[in-house]
Amino acid sequence: MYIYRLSHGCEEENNEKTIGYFGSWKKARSVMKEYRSSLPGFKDYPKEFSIKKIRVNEDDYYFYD
Amino acid sequence: MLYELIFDYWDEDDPNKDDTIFIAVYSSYELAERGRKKFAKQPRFKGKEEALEIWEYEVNDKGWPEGFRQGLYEYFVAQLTDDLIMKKIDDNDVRIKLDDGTNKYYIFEGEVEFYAVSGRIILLKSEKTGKFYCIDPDHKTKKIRIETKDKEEFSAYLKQNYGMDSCAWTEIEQYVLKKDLPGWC
Repeated sequence: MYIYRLSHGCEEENNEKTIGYFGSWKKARSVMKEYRSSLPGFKDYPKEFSIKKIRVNEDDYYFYD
Repeated sequence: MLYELIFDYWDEDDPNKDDTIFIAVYSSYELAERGRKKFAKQPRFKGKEEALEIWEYEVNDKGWPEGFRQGLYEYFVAQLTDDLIMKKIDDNDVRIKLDDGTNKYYIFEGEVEFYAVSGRIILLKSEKTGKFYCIDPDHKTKKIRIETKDKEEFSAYLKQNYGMDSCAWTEIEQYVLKKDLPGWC
């Protein structure tokens, strides 16, 4: 099962925040547009949104130092 | 419902060691908890297991509905002239700092809500206290040239000493975006 994660901010700068998980790209994008146009913080940094397609329950990763 | 596993580590002593990363999303809390235990053993997270967090999300729910300000805004700061910076230091007071290249020192601190700049002259006004100030940073001994609650006295002083008939007041905002901040150190 796939889900679309809408987030804002930059992981490298440790300020990424999850806005939500959406059942479709279209829905995620709609929320992104809404936030980008009106909400404080989000409208000030409109280019820092990210929508990623993620497989639920997939965690076969290894994190080194 | 979905369960997001993230690593959100903040080092109290060294912000350079702060580390935030999205790891995975799960369909149940039990799976997320199992994932948390697994990742806790990995090098990047070892010793910082408490920073591995599980957050619950309803699918299609919109988080942060009010937006956010934290981390983005600072109290108001304005570069008045090349060597003068004004900054709000709390909800009410502002401070003006003069940096002449050799020394940095404060030439004003007080409660004001409006300011105007005319050349090197800084004018300040507070509607709360009713006070007007005229600041001349180049004056050798007394930089606050006048402080008065008498608007007519203030206007007459500006006319007589600086040839000013009027000024355009700018409101001092409460906050400014961090990315728009001039230098302040």
